[in-house]
Amino acid sequence: MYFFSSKPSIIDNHTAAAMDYTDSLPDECLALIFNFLTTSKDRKNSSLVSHRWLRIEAQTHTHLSLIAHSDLQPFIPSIFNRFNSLTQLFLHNNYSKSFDSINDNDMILITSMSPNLMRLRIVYCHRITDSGMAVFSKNCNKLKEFSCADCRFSDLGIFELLHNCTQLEVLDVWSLNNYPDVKAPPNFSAGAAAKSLKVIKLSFAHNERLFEPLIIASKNLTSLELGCCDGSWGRTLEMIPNDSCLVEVHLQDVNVTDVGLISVAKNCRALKKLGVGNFNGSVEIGDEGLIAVGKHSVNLQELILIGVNATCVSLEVIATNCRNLVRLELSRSETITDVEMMCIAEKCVALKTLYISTCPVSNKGIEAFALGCPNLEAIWDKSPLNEKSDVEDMSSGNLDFKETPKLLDEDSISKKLKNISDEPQENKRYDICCKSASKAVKLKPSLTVINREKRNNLIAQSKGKTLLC
Amino acid sequence: MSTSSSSSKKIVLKSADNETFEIDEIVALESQAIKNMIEDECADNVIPLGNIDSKTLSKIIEYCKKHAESPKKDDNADIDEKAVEDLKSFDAEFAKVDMPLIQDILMAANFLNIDNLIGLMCRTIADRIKGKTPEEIRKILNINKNDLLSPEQEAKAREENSWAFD
Repeated sequence: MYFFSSKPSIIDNHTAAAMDYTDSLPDECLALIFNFLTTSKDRKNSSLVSHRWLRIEAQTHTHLSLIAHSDLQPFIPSIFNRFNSLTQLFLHNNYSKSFDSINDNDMILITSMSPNLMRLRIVYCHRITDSGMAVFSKNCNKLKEFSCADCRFSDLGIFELLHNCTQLEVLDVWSLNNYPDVKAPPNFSAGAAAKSLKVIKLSFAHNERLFEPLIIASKNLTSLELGCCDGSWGRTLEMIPNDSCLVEVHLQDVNVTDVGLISVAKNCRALKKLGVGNFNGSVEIGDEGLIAVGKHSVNLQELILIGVNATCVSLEVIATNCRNLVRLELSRSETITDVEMMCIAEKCVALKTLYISTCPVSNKGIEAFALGCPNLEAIWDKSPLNEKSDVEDMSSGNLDFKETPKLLDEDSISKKLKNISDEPQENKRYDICCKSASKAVKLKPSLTVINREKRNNLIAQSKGKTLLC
Repeated sequence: MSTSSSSSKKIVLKSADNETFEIDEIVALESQAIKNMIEDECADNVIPLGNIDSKTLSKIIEYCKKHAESPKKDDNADIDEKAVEDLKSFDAEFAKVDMPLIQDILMAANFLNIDNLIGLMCRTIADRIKGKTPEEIRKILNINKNDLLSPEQEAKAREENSWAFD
């Protein structure tokens, strides 16, 4: 039997004039109210309302982003006492102040007070060292995601972390200090985290000595991304085990050859997304490597080639075997011509998005899509205007651009077509390409042509959303 | 599960001030607490709610009736948008009440375990304190003067807050 009346009565609440409307609410209700406050300003103001609000507002914080300047030091005990439910922490030393960041001892204190951390990101924390990493990571045994950018510790520090964080799934490293003379400890192993790692992303990591065994030992790795990394990563790729479960591989401005690519194709049977290319200098990858991709990577859905000298010889194999290929990006390649366009138009039946940039493709090549590729929804047509804009392209180009943004609607297409005739003479080559693409649009109304500015805007928008915490 | 036709069984709720409300069982089932009682066969013909006054209870019944009549989201994926919009504007109208009543409804909804209504009331309170200073929030909600931070404590909390960014 339920005795509802046994609860404290709330009916005479309002007889007392100055009754706190939140006094009788349970903490969970107050926490729910805070969850509906979405701006940091509202949350901060709420925290100042009363002792109770200060306490509960802090408890509802699972994410916290802090300026990791050394001046934060005296506040660490009280801040982390207050925010004691953190699972995600972002420490960014706001460099407008100075590079004087929190140090090893601060990190040790912070992590010891935040035992439930699952995601940790540190940026511009120059005073955190390898030995600090070795100690504070012992406190982070629930960590699933670690990322760092522009810190001064080295790969040795990362490996101390991998040794201690045995549940780590995502490792994202942007720029590390390089101590080429420091040898790896003799008892070095790939780290306990090799069992759990699913994503490894390395940018400007100029030392493959320790990452190579890690990548090879990480049996559950599904995504590998290397960007602007010096060193002989080709060897790492050649050592990928033949039961690799990699689904996504991106290699940008990394020294790889056909041999490495063939190894990826042969050993990663589940591969769905592949990006290879250099923005700076040439790529030692050609038809041989790509034919292997066509032969082995039958599940491929996305292929991005930058500065890769592919011809219809390899593209035909890919087009014929990779029946699920929905997205193809080809840029900065002299060998991508009308012939290649016609090959793609004829054979890539599943293709939905095609992106071409800085390739010698004329109207004829684009027109082929009026008849081919029955599922094509968009062509990103970004032919060069002149040398100057080419430089712009280099800065905006990035393998990271993987999301398909929203496409232009019918209205914008007709507006675009109208604009073409108004554009000045110096944009001639661009005009021609757009016009021919619009011809394709006329024949196939589902097709959308997207111009350079629109795409850059979309890239800028999508980049703005990639904050971790 | 269809709405009103499936059950004509009636449930009687009795408020703290001894007013009785006869409602369809399906309406009462919006409350997880009452639902549990019925499932456990602990409910008599009349369910006394000794801590909810008749004014609050009639508001809650109004809410439950509307929500019981509306198609549930998990019933089928393609419920028409009009019904969703209709329910939204009902909720918006429903929440246009003064703070004391919001508090009572929230307390009662919490007690009767009506998730949607708890969410609606908490969101309403959140909307009313958005963009307000701590002092304005204290006024709106009549915050207990005994629980305020001292000037030193407030300054300390402000300083801590200043280290956090979005």
